[in-house]
Amino acid sequence: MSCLRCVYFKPNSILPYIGYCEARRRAESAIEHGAPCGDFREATIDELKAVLEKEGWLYCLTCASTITSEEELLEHYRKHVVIPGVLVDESVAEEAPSGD
Amino acid sequence: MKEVGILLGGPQGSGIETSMWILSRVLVSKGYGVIADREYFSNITGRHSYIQMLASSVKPPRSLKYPVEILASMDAETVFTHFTDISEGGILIYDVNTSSRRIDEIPSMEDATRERVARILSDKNVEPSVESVVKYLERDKRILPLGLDFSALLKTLSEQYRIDARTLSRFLSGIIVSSVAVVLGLSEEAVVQGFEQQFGERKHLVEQNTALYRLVRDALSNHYGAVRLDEPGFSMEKAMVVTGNDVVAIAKIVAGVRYQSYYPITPAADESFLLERYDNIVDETGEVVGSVVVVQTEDEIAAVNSAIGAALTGARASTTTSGPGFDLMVEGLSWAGMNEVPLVITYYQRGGPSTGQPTRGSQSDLFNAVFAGHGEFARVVLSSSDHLDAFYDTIEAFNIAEKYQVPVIHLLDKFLANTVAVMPVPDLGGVRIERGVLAKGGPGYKRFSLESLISPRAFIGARDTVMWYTGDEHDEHGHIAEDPEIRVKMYSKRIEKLNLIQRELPLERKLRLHGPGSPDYLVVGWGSVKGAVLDAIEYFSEKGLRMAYLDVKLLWPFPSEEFLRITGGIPDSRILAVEHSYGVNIAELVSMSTGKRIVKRVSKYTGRPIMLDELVKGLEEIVSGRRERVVLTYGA
Repeated sequence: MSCLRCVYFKPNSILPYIGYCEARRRAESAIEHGAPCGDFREATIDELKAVLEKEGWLYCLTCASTITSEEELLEHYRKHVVIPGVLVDESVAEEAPSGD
Repeated sequence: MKEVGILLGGPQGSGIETSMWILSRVLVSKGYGVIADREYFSNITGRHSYIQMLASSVKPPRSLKYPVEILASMDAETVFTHFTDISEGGILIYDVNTSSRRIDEIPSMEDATRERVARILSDKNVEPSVESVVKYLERDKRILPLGLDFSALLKTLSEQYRIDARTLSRFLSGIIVSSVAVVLGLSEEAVVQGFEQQFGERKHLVEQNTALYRLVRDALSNHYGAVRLDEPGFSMEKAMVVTGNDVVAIAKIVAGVRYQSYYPITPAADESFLLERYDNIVDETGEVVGSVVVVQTEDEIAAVNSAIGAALTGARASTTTSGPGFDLMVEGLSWAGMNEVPLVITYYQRGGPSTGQPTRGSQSDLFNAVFAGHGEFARVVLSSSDHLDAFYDTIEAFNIAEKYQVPVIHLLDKFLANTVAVMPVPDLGGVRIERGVLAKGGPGYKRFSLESLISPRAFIGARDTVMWYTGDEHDEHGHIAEDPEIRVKMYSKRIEKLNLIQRELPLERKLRLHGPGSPDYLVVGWGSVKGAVLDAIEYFSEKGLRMAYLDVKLLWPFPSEEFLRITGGIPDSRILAVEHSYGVNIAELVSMSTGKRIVKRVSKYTGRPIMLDELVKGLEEIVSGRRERVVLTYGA
């Protein structure tokens, strides 16, 4: 179990194992299989449903895709890492060449 | 080592481009030649992208080769996709946090790619995890794996400088640049200079990346200079590190372009983006002497028509596009042909048909450029085969357009557009601006005067001058005319310009022969295949086989006479053609223009560039007589 599954951890969308910890209020690295801290708490399915209801989307870290319905949430929740939000660097698109 | 191949890989938007620019400039500043091909998916972020580079101490490189000596990977997908691209004894730089990732845990990987790689791993009895691949490479290929803890590095940096976690991924490029620089034994001073050139005024980024470089250097201290390039054996007094798009944009400014229109399309748009940055042109005293108006139009139909309008007012005007966009411009092209408009269309080919492969290269639009457009009219189609070529050809395109009052299509491709290469600063001493026969106009002015093949050209808005332009057939004034005699005279006038162009253009603008005049084998091609072909010819020359390359620069009107003269003494069985397409259509164009049949062909249509090694193998197959057609497929 790592920070990735913690309700307080917001991973970077490009580099998921580094992100912002709301409990510690700082950047943290979520080392896979590394023991999380004492504040660790996994988001419950009800908490995720509430976020989905409020924000309209969740993020599946495993699939690198958004979840926009309860049906999708239930499909991903058990097998994958579903998180309530990611950190998106708005300037990322400027680095990537256009492809249209 | 004389040359070092480097492959940088990671998800789009993670800093691969930035890494390439910094490393390229650092290497060039140390006197090395560099070439870098950028391969990316046609979505904005997340999918796999990679850059294959070649650094050379011998000369500015012209083509890429495989395998590479250094693979620098940001993610698991790069390791899986490119582990077969590393040479024996090479180096793999990777993130240790990806070690446990399995190939079926990479959502961004296409199923076909995943299955193919999984099969390769299975054949080698290697478990489909990054860790297993690394062990296999170390054991079986004597590759030195340099694992870095990207997460720990970034966390340390973040704590030191209080960097927002949202923006931490921007420093991935710093890790890649630093690790490759350390392995190559480049000095801190050179690397910092690279950061300064990239980040400019943003001193905090230079400082942070320098700190990151020191962390990486400490982590890899035992491997500093593990791959050493020889001291540079050539010099360029002044060099530019540019893409093809950059070069064409710069050349357009030199050519005096005053109007450019475009609708954004890969891989053309970057040219216009660069032009947009230089809206005012200043002389040595700082006085503004002109400006380039760059307009993003609502579509390509508006782009071509507005460029036509600008050209009619006397401005040097161009539009830039790719295949799908050119298709929309074709009616405008036909109008330009009917009205003898000096328009330049810069056409960057990409994978087709239809949307095709927007971010992959191709030379499959040869016939589109040469024949598109209803009706018969004079057009010129030019091709450029490297960055320096593209510079001079861009200027010449406008000269031809204005001198002969014809639309000119400058045909390039994604490989040239996106490839970063070092080139000498162009010599402007021989550059000429030729505007053709101009007229002041005045009462009774005949825009399409039949007194000469090229009618003196007045501009719309000239004092006391009225002129008419219509898509219909017209008389000398431009009024609609259906009289059969007028029709024949006007039609002939327009078409017969092609004969004049043929007579007046010098040979070096049409065809360039590289190598011996009486070769054992002649390779015919055009565009960006030149670099790989010339390197292949050099290889064969060392083996005692005399090969030459005939670079076709004037695709239309095809220089039939000169082509037959140059190839006259060479049997058809010893002529072969190379092209990034299925049909190798240059052979068909040669055939219809000269009657000469080129049966032996080397083709590539994966969307990836032709690499030296595969081209050599392909040519060997043909020269040996084992095959007449070879299809190349290397590259992820």
